[in-house]
Amino acid sequence: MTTLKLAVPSKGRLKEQAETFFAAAGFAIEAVGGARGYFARIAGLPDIEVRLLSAGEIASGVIAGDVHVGVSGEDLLREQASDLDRVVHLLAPLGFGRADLVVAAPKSWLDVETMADVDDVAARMESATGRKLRVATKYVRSTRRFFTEEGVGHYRIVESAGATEGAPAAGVAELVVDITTTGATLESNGLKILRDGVILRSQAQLAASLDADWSPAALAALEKLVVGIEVMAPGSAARLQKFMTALNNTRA
Amino acid sequence: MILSAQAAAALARIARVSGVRAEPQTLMPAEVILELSGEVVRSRLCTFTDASGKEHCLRPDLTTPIAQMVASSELPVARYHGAGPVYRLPPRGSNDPVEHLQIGFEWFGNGGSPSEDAEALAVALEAAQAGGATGALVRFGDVAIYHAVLAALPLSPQWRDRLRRAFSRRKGPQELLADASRGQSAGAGEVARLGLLSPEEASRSVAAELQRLGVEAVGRSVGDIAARLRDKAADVAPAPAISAALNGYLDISVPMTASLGALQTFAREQGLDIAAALDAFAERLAIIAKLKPPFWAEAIFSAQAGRRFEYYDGFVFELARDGAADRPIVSGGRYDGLISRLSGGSREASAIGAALRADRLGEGARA
Repeated sequence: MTTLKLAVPSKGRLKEQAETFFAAAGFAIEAVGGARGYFARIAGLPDIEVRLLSAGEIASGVIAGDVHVGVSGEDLLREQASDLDRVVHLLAPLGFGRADLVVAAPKSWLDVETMADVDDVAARMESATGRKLRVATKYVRSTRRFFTEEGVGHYRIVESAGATEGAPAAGVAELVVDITTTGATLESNGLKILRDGVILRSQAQLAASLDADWSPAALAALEKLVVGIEVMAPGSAARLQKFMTALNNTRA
Repeated sequence: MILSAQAAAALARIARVSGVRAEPQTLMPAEVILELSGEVVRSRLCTFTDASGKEHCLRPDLTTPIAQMVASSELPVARYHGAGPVYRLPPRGSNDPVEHLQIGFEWFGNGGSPSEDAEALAVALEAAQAGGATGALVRFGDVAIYHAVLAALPLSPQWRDRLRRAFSRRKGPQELLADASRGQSAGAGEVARLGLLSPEEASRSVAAELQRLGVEAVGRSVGDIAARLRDKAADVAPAPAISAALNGYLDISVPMTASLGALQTFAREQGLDIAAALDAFAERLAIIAKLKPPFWAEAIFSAQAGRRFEYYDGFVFELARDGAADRPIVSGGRYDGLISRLSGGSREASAIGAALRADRLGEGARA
């Protein structure tokens, strides 16, 4: 019988916070095969198989339907699927892992406060130098989507592997799109967040896949889980109903 | 590559008046496309990266690689035709194939006359008919009239530039004007103060402010930042009457037979001198009428036609089945600025071209 595959973060703060969250809802996560295994169980819910993965793997696993539900950041989920809402439903904001995805410019750009300013500066730069404004980011798709919605052209994305906030000072890009919690790292790197430059206010989400292989038992297990966390994440049960309706529609 | 009988018939009609066949490479530097059309096209491009980190892509059309060959003097300025596979990643949920056969022509360096516009339209439509297209509608426009309207309206230079670039963007001119009416492009008090200063004083003032903030000038010079602050101070959002005039132009969508009258009425009512652009438009219509191309009698003029393409700057046209405007069988238009852009300004040539999608020629024809 197919059980519900639930993916939770395998390391770091997210792992601790996810475990604390589920424990508070009465679902203690117990490692199977030693503390460093890749599988776990939830006491009292034998139909749920817990997989321990990185947050990025969880996002792609939920989008691909390899797992039924997972705990991952909304920023990672939206970066990996530009039409996320068609394949994944966010059932419950979990109240931790908060971070904003923002557009930041050098503080020295006194004339730049908004995305409209960015477009003007980018157009000036291209006509003066023939080169496009460069934006350093790990969030390539989210950046492209947001810049298009905000009507910014004349830019190029420079994919950054890490320490994105250092790109302007290092001369490899003019702007950055990055995750921030307090803004302190951007601030100390001489960057400011644009007034309308918040792309996403992200937090950890319990995300369910429309593309997973759902059995009645898996759905029943998800329902038990959601009913259990409803107190901590109000509205989850209602969102589960919408998810079930969408699931029926995709099967029809 | 073997063409279907229909595709071969379409190509034959084009080849008769379109010089030699150009055979551009299938692979091209992704840079060329991205510099031209921006990051927004990247999600549709088939790209890959070589060992040195250089990005390549499969050609998304025939126009760009042929224009690239002319811009780099690999081909002389002349008329060309082409046929071959082009590659575009379909958006999710679309059943379009990644690869499809494109048939088309690119004519360079004739000076860009209304009669060449008319001939190009007629050739493209006759080719579509020869290829089996039926029950389809022409939608056409003229980006040069949009530019003439912008030039004639009392706009600040900054707003004129902004509205010009917005034409080919998803957030278009009408959305920008709506933002402006909600006061979303305001300049702060600091900006207004700097606007009163001379360039030298403004630069000194910016330098002093950076020192106070304890930051260095990153990415742009103090002089550039000061110059743009002065520009911002001089910038004025379009007055409601100007916004209304431009929105009125962009809303024009009328049958071809009424198009010249609608444009003349618009210009007279708004008191705009766009006579030169309208004369070229009228001359083009008169020549097309003599050529009597298929599909043309029911054509629709739309001020917003051509918005999906970054490089069109004059006459534009599309042929699509009714209710499937987003799946054109033929797309074409004038792009006089492209050779200059691709060659970094070292070469200039007027240009007009059209592309037919072989896979859509005979598809789902209405009874």
